[in-house]
Amino acid sequence: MKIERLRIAGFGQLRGFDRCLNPGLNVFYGPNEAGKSTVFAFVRAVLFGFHKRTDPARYPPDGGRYGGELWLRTPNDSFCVQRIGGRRSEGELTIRSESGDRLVPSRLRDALNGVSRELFFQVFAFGLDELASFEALAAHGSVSEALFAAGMQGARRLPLAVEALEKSADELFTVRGAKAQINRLLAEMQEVQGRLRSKGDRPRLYFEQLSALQSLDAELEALENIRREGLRERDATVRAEQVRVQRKRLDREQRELEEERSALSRALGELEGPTVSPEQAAELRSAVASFNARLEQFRSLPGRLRSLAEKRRSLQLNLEALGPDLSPARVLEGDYGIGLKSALETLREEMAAATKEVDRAGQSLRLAQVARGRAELDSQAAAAEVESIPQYSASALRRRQRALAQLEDTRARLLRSRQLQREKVDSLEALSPMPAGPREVFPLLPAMALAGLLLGLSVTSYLLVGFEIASWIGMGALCTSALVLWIQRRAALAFRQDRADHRLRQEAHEKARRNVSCDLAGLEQNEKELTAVLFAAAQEAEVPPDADVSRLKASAEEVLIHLGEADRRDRLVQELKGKAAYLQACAAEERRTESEARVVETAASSIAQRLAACLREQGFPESLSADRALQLWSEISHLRSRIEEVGVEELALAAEQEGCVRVADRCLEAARQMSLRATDAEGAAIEIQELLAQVEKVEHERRRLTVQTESNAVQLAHLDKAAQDLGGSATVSAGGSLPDELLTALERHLAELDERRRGLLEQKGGIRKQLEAWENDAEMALLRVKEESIRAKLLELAREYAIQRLALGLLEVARRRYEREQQPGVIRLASQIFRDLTGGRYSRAFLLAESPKMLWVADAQGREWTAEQLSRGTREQLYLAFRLALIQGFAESGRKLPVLLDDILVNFDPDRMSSAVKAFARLAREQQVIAFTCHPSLRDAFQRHGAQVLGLEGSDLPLRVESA
Amino acid sequence: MPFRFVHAADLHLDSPFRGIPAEGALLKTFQGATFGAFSRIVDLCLRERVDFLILAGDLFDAKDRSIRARLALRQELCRLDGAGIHSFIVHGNHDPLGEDSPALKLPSTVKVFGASWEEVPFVRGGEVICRLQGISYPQERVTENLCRSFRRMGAEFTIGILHANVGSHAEHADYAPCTVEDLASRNLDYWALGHVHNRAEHPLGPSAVAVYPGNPQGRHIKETGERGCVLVEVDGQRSQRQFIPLDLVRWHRLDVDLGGIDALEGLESAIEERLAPLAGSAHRAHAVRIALSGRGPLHRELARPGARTSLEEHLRACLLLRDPPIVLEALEDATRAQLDFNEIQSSGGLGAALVAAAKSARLDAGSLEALWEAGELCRLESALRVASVSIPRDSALVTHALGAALDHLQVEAGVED
Repeated sequence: MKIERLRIAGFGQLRGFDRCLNPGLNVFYGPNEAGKSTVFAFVRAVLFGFHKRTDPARYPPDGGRYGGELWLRTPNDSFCVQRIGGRRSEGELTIRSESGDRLVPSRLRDALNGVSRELFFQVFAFGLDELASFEALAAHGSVSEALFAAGMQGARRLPLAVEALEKSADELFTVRGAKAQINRLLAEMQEVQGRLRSKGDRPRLYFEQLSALQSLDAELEALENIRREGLRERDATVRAEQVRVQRKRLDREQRELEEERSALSRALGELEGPTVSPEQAAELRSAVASFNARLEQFRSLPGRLRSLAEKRRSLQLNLEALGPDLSPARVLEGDYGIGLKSALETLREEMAAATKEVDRAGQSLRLAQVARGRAELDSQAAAAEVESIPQYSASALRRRQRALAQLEDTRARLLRSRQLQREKVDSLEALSPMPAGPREVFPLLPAMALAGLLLGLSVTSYLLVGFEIASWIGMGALCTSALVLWIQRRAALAFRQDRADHRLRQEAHEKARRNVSCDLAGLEQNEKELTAVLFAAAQEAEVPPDADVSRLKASAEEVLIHLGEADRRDRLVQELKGKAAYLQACAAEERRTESEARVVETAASSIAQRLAACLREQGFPESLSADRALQLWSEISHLRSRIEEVGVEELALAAEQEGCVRVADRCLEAARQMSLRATDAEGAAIEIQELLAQVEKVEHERRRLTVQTESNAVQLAHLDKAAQDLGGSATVSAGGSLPDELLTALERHLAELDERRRGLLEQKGGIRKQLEAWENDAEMALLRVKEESIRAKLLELAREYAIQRLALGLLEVARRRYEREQQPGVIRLASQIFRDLTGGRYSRAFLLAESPKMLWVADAQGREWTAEQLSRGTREQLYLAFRLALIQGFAESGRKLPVLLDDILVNFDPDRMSSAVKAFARLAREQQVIAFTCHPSLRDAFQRHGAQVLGLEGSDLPLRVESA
Repeated sequence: MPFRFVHAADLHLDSPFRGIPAEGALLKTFQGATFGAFSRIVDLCLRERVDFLILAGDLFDAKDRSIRARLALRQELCRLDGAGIHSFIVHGNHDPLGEDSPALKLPSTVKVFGASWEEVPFVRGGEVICRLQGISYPQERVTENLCRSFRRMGAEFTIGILHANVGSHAEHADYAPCTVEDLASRNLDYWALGHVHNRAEHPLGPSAVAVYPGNPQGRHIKETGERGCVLVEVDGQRSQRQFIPLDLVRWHRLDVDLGGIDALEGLESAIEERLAPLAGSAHRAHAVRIALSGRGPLHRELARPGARTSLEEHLRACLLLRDPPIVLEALEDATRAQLDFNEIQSSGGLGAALVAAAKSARLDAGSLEALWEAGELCRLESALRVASVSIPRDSALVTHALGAALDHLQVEAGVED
């Protein structure tokens, strides 16, 4: 894109400023405040919008229109970009084509090739302020992208990568720290190894302890032998002492037993009591047992006899209360069984059914009487109502109603028929006669005449001018004749076609006329018929044929009312007939129910007679009802069963009484036999029992004495034998006393042996426990597992740490190599430009991978400097070099925009200025360069390289900028 | 006369498992596994009614100082003794001849070879049916070639029992080093070897063979797959060998490619699918290391801080619930190795510089040493010495470091996000 012309309507101090620009190198020259920066700002403002209203760089004019236009040329076309101050702070943008057509705003964006405002200001249109800084340039996205393009692959993340790897490695291991994973594991390992060391050489200890255990076993065995010997000696001594003591005790016991045996013999001799033989005792026990078994009956017998007599009296009283003639004997003998109950129940049911029938018949009779009375009243009322309604002929009324409807319909149809007649007449009139048929425009005859004339002309010419000409004329005449005849033929064919068409149309027309005439005649006939019908209907309806609508309506309503009354009278007459029939039916029903009531009452009285006969037969009062008779039967039946029960009870009691008397007699007999003094049976039984108890006690005592005597004899025998046995231990028994010193010494020796044994057993137990603990100890194995586990983990982590440290080392090596060898293309180009600008004083410029926003330079001696360490002029040359490299880089990607330089070379020395101008001139071969300067030398330098010099004077002329 | 024997080695009774949590319900199962495997060897001897059992060293680890190991050894040998089955034992580097051996009081049918070469005949029915030669380690480190002491002493089938590193296996200490040719030159019929934990056979001639039965129970992730002993049937001078797996818990290594897996559920399913045929119910437990490889959509998610750890914990909990339970030894993220370094290098930039630096470190020991010192890794090494842990300085470490650096820079095959 290039700027061909700029026109400023009003911008800052400039008004009506209009300049055409060279497509290559241009330089605006003028003194200070001439308006160079204003033009510079104007170009930026038109392309990207005015600054905000409060911004001093907005350059508002003192008055008049604000803004102007730029004429731009792109490889495809040229157009005008106009920006005029308006409501919006950035101004109103208008884009027009060369022909004045308005274009869309995106046209400008397309021409700028996507370059943003910031990028344009930083790279393409910059002043000293922008040139002095690199950070803003490097920070910008597109610039940054250009700087660190593919050539810098990976370097952008280098600081992050190094930081992450160092952090990760430090988490794994630090030389002095304790928190890192490997450090922690090492500490853990030391602890585990310490614990393992503390366990010592377990197998060696184990086998040592095992042999110690075996020694202890041997020692224990020897000790046990000694102990067993001591025990044996002590046991013999103790046994001798025991025998002696036992002998003494036996002697004493023997004496006591002898004495006791004598006493028992005496007691047996002294034992006295009644003498009862076993048979007698058995008989006595049997008599007492029989009596005791019936003792309760015996005692309750009188009371129960009294109770039974009382029951019988009570029954007698109950029977007397039921009827004067009833006695227990009669009740037991009489027939008060279930047959009587069934007969009474049957009679009761029959009586109840008969009573119910009588009630029902009486009810039916009453209902029939009421219905008959009501029917009579209804018939009388209906007859009166019929009489009150006048009598009309319904058929005559309906005929009149139909005639009225027909009259109305006929009049409507008549009107429609007359309407149709008028329409048919109109259509008949519309069917005017057909025009005449087509005429023949080219008859055959004139054609033939014309052909003959031409042929005649050819013959005449043959005669007059010779054969050759005549033959030409003849041929012409023949052709013309043929053409004329062909035309006539075509015309005749067309004429015949038209004539046939006309005939068909004429026939259709005639047919239509005939149809309409026929329709008209039919309509006239129809009208006549309708008029006749109309008159007949009027007569039937009893109205004149031409009666108006209101009259017809009144007649219709009157007919409708009369018809309603006639219908109502007919309905009432029908109802009256029905009611008369109903009245007759009610009377018949009344008669029927009367006779039925009589029959039922007769049956009821017959049943009452049968009941009375039955009661009489059983001795009941005849006046009893069937229910009461049944109740009486029930009570008698109950008393009868109770009488039977009392009888049974009396028989049982008599049997019991007889048994009691028998056992009492037996008991008294037994008492007498034993010479007891009792007079009654109960007393005799008690005395017999006491006698038996005394006999048993004496017998028991006798048995005990006998057994003890026998036991004493046995013990005595044992004692004799023991005494014989002890007789052998003569030394002990003969000595009379034991050597206590010997026993004490033996005991002491044994205690010492036990003590020693206990100690050895404890020692053995301890060793065994230790051995078992070692045998089952899993701690050692666990510690070894742990040690191996930590070792494996350590190896893994150490490997990971080594990988990360090596990765860091590799990154460092790569970084150095990369910085040395592989700078991005833009940097390399900038390096070259910078070297040219500084006349080779500086060999290269470069970026460090970890800080890509800081520029470094190396001088010819290889010393490296940061940009900040350079002088201002050199630093600006460095930054200019980067911008030129970037512009070249953008150009390579198709973004060739005008480059505007606002007096940027003021800090350059003449040589470097010259080099810079040369660089701009080289750039201007490809892209438009517009420089602004107030320095004549710079102007001249640009001019020497073919720049168009543009002044800033004459800008106060009013400039007409066409309004959008 | 035909005879049969069982050849086992490297029992490592009661030695700890590596990579198993030091606490938890399964610890007892794993701790008892070496005992269980030995018990199964004895069961096999009894079941097959073999003539003798050969144990070729490392019956237990002396450094474990385990009493239980010694008692279990005696108990199981007593069972064999009870059935009239003899045992022939040599001690290896982990259980060199010590003072406690006599105290063990092994049965009379057990022959423990001493620190000098010795031969004993095996007699059945009054007839020598074979000869057994052996030598035990007097101490842990034995660097001389012990097989030179062995020689044929008779026409009978002769067995040499030796704990040695045949062929200098890098994964094992190079004790009693010898070559297959050395063994062949001794003219024995069967070499019952121990020391190398993976099963192997070295034919030594038309009928002679040297056999490593491997250890009967794997104890860490390098001892995966089936483990057991060898049942040998001898007829004349020929032996027929049959490997019998006896391990109670089994180790597995599972490589899961992340390619094509786009969700954690899918990853779980893939692991489940791979594990199903491996983790059979014939074992009391399994231990597995899962190595994730490839660079599928899940890689980024797993690269987030803590993501791998939480996945590992989740998987560990899930696998423990299986029947039989599976212990997740580790979840290894091997996806870094899938980076295309050539493409990164050709893409230029810092990534290329990194790849170049790593290449230099891999090829040049001096560069690696410089990196090692710059990273102060010597300090870590000295700190780890107390734990007897050393970091192998191999090229894989540099490759992993390169992957870590590229991951942190988020450089992927020439594209920077």
